[in-house]
Amino acid sequence: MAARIPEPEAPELVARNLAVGARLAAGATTFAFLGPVFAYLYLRSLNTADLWHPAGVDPPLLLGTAIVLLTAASAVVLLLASRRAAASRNRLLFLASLSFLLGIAAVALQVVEYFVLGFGPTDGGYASVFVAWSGLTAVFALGTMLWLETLIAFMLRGGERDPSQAIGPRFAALAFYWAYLAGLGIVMWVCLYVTA
Amino acid sequence: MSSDKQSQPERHRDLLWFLLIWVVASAVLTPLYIIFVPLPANGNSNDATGQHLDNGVLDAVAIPAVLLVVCFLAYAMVRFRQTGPEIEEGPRVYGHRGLQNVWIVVTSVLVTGLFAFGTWRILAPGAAGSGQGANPLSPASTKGGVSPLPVQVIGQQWQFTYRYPTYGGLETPRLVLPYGRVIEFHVTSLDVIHSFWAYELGVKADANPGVDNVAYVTPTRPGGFDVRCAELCGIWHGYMFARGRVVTRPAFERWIAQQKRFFEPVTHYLPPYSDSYLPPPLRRGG
Amino acid sequence: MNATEPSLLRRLVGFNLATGIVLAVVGYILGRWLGDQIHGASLDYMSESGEDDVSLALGYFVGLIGFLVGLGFANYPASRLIGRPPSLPRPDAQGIGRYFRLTPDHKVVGMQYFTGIGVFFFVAGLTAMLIRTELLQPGQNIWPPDKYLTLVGTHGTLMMGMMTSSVLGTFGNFIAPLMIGARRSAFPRLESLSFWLLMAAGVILLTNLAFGGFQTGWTGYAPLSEEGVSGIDGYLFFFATVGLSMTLLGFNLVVTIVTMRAPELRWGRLPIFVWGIFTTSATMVLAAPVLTVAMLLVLLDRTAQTTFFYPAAGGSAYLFQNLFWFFGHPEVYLLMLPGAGILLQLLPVFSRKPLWGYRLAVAGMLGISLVSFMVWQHHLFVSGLAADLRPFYILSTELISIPTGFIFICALATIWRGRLRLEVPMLFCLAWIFNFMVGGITGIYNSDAPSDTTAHGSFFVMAHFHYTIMGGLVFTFFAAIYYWLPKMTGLTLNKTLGKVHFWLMFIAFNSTFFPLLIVGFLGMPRRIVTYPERWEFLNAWSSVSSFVLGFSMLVFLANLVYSMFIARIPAPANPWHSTSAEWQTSSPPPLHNFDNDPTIGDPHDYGRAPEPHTPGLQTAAEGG
Repeated sequence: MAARIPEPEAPELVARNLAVGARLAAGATTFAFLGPVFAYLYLRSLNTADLWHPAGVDPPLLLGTAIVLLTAASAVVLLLASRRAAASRNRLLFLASLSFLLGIAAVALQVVEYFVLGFGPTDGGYASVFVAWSGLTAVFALGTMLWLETLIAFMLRGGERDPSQAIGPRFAALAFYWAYLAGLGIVMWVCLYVTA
Repeated sequence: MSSDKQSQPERHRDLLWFLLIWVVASAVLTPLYIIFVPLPANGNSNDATGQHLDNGVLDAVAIPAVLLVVCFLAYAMVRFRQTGPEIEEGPRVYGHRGLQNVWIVVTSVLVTGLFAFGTWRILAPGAAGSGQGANPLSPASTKGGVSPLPVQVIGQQWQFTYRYPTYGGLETPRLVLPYGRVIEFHVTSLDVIHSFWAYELGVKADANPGVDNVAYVTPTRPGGFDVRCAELCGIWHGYMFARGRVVTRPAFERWIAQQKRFFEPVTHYLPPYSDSYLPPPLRRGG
Repeated sequence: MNATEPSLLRRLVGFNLATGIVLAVVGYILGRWLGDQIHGASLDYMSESGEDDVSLALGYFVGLIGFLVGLGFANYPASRLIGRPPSLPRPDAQGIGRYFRLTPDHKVVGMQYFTGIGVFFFVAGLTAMLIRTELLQPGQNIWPPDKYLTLVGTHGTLMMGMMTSSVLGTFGNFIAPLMIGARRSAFPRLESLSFWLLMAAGVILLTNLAFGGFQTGWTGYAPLSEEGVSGIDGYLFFFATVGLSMTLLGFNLVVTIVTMRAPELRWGRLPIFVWGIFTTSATMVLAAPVLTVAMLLVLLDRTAQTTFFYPAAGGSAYLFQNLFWFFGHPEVYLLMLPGAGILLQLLPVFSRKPLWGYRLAVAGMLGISLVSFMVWQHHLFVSGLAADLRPFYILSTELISIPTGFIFICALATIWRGRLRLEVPMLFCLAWIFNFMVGGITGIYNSDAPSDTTAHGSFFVMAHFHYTIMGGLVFTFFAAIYYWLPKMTGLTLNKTLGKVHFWLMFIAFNSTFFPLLIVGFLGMPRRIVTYPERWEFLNAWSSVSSFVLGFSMLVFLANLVYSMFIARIPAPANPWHSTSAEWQTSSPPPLHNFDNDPTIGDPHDYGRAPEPHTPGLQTAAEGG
């Protein structure tokens, strides 16, 4: 069967797919977090059997703040990097790597937090929401950092010099998504640490 | 066989015939259905009577609507059917703004009308027999100063039991109600979600653990009624049913006195009457 | 076939289904072992009882990962992690092997969905027959209650989980890119992943039988789902995985439709079927993650001992109902919208008229998908939750019948004065109009809170949603099969058997479910294993009809086998004289979909030359 070889696709197509995809993924992510958010508001207002937040269940505020700051910083650095993707390769690589390290540090700190928590998932509604919400955020953050790692590794190999593989749109899509996720992380911080 | 080029009067004739068939069918079948199909149960309580009326109103909208589609499909399939190998093209009509607007207006009016009707019925005192949660929006009216009779319905796997707080917190596995008096059901559960369904009385209220769900009914004539669990609650869900009775007031008082005597040895072991029953708070398991 | 073909053994080695199954088993064993290493005060007790949910959940999870690795889904992420450049996978030209591994060709994925979902459709249909057999007579006949409820749950869960992807997976993946003149889908690997996740989920669900079944029904209300046996883990894992699969499926289709349309195909000219796919996919991307997370929260309650849904420890049973129906009500419109898309796509073809009121139909679809997110608490009218909000939910629920009415008027007015050709797909479409009318009207009784007091939780509701889902989705799914399978395979389906199938199915379907509407209003709750003798006649009638309904499916299967494997009559290039783009390429389409660029015209361009302008009639430009 002699299938006609189609002409190569326009490079803008990949850029558009990534841009639309990142925004759609942000929407889906929002709805994924609806579960813990709903549970937070709902169980808090119901306070069944006075067990929403028993005494002694206190989140480590310092650690939590550090986690959210690291996440936000990582997202801001990546946004800066993506804005100047075309400027200088070394600068982009530096900022992206910095963002990666900050993001991974946030995830690692989240894991540390579970070990020093002082309460367990069974200790009432708040404790349950805390574990599920922070855990879900950490999983999403880890996935996003792996995505970032693929771009850094690609640049380290010099792949972006191939004109058909524009790196700019890839960073733009990723930076948008990561910033969005960091925003959700700030919402989580306000709910779980500040107004707990 | 429709001609290729329908003239204007011919087009109107199709429309008129279809409308005629539909109007006649609706005019004949709708009243017949409403009068002769006695669903759901009617007359045993204010809620059942009310729901019967509600369903009648919905029927009056629903049956002509279904008939519209049925008559339309039947007419179109007979009148406009085309057979044979030749593909014949229909008229190139992309829409009709007038019909479109009429349709939107008619459906919107019907929908808002049904909404207004349903809301009016649910805001009426007693609120149609469905569970209203702990703070009922529309409590039953208590004319003549007779307070409602509170009856607690406790669901557990796989039986309902009933407590009469005004009769010393008596708990019994049988449900007997006096007629002519407002009954205030407080439905709760000890384990999973059940649903208290007294079919002939037109009452349904979910039994949630830790929740007080209030529903009202005024039985209007003596007789038996079915109680069933209407929410899947585990393997013996299908066997969670019983019969209840509506009796006269003196008979009810006699029955209560007899039950109190019968259950006296155990009643004082029961936990004090409460809106809901949860196990004591769990200790923090370190 | 030819000498260069490698041996069977050689072909089995590599990233394919066989490797996937092996790694799934290895992963499952590894996960169970890992789970057994986790200790905690309460877990020790559980592991002694042989019902260690931690171990089972990890078994499912690691097994699923192993399955996907075996199919080759880890290869590309791994190569990207070590810095290889992004690339598109190269589709295989031919060979049966491409159906058993990661395939980047949307047409292959479409056929995979068709076959895979078909298998599970028949499994779930079989469980329906077994349920109806139990209900032939009152009393306990063939199943003890726990087995009966497991059948009820398996039927509902499989049908809901699988059939949501039926139209999108099969025809959305196969046909929609052809209709918009695309040569591939936007994210081919995610598309393939969505299929294999769905199949893995189906197998996981069926494994619940080895762990005591699950007695919660497809709704799986907590806290019932938290006290039950380990089989419930399979149910939870199934829905969590299905939610993920649905998200990916919708994600790929939305992006494909947004970015990969042929240049001249503006939104206002998109075929109505593609609109149906688009609105469904967009709703799916948002609704399905809620399902996944809700199921994971229950799984956390069962494994990590959180207390989301356990009232005695600070949780709430209402929370699960809210989360479930916040997904669950958009879900039922996910089942309805693709059917409406198929209906409105096919009616013009077989009426030989343009689609009446194109913009109205699109508005209807958009309206339904938007309003579907605002109605969920009508499932909780008698629950005692937020009773003050009931008027709002009555209103929002009844409002959704306005956009649904748009679809009806477009369908009816398209038929009116057309030249109806009652081919098999057309018959199925006309049946949709009747069935969905009954389904929609009975929905009014559920949306009206006073009337819902009786209807809620009864067989009436059950019959109502079978009218909308089976009468709506499944009938149009068959319409699409009869319509597009010649395109997908290049072979004709037998017309006589098709008509036998249709009439048997239509009559038996109505004969099965209409009595159940009545029996519900007579007071029969759902999911009961036995019932009073006074309902025996209606139940027996329904059961016998359901066997005929099951038999009609066998007629379809016979038609499929006969037409595809025995008769093998090549399909004409354009058997239905359609004008849309998918018929402009060969059947089945070549690897890159079009040998020549398709001409994109008015997608519903039927009917003879335009009539002289008459007042009130819209022209193509303003109405179409």
